[in-house]
Amino acid sequence: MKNNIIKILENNNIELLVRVSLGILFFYSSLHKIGNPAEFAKVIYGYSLFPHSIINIFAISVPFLELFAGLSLIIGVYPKSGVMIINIMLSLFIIAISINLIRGHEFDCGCVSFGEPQSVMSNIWVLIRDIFCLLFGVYILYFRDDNRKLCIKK
Amino acid sequence: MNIKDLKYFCLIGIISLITAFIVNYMSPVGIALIGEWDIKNGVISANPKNSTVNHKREITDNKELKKLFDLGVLFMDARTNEDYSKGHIKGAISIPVNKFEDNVEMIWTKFKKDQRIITYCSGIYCEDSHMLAKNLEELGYKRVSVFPGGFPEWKKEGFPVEK
Repeated sequence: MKNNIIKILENNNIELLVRVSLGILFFYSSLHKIGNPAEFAKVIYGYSLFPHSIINIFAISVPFLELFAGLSLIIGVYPKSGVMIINIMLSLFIIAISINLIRGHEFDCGCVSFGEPQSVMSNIWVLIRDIFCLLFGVYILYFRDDNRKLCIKK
Repeated sequence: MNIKDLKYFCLIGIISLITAFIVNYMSPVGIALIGEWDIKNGVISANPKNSTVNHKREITDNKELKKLFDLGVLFMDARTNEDYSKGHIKGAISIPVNKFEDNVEMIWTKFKKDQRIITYCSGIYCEDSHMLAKNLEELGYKRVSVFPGGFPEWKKEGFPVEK
C-alpha cells in the first residue's frame, strides 16, 4: 500500500498534471486582479489585517507574483522557485482567511471573482481549497528535479 | 532546495515586482501607491487613475442631510433595483449606475439642470454614488452632492425609509 502511494507520487505524469493545474489556477486568478487593481485593493482592505499604507502596494504586486509564478509552473521554467512563491502566498492566504473566520469577520476572498462579502461557508471552502493547493505545492517543491517532465529549465 | 532555487526564487520575484509597477504606471486603470482608506474622509478608494470619487461632493453631516431631505431635495439611489426594492430613502428614485444610459431620457425630461440632487449607494465601501454623480455632472447637472454613508447610515440614524 505504502509502496503504491510512493509509486504514484513519484510518477512524473502526476507531477506534471498537478504542476500545470496549480500554475493555470494562479495564472487565471491573477488576470482579473491585474485588470482591476482598485477592486482587488478593496478586497485586501476588506480583510482588515493590513496597514493602509501597504494595501495598494499589495494590490499592485500580488497579481504579478501569481502570474509569473503560475507561468513558471505551466511552462516549466524553474518550477521549484515558482512554487516556493506560490507556497508562501498560499500560506499567507490561509493565515488571513483563518484569522477572519475565527473572529467572524465577513469579507470577499477575491480569489476568482469579486463581489459582495462571502458567506462563512464559502470562505471555509476557499480555506479548504487553499490547504489542498498548498499540499500540491509542497508535493511539487519536493519532487525530484531530474524526474520532472516537460520542463524547459529545472 | 538549494542556492540555485533561492536565486531563481528571487529572480522571479524581482521580475514580477518590476513588471507590476511598470504595468501599473502605464495602465489606464492603474492605482496610486497609497489609497484613501480612512473612512473619516468619506468613501474609500484605492485612488485609481480613472477614479470617480471626489470628496468635495460629499455631505458628511447627517443633520444637514436631513434638513435637505425635509426641504424636498431629490435623492437618487445608485444601487441595483433589487436593493432599492428592499428599502430606500423615502421618496428617492432608483437610477442604478449600471443602467444609467437607460434613464438619461427620463432624467432630462423630468429634472431641470439646476435641480439639487443627492446620490447615495450602500455606504463608504461603495463608489456607485460618486459614479452616478459624475454621470449627472456630465449631463450638465451642476448641483449634485453625494451622501457617503448611504442607505445603511440613513437607516441607522432612523431617518424616513420606504419599500
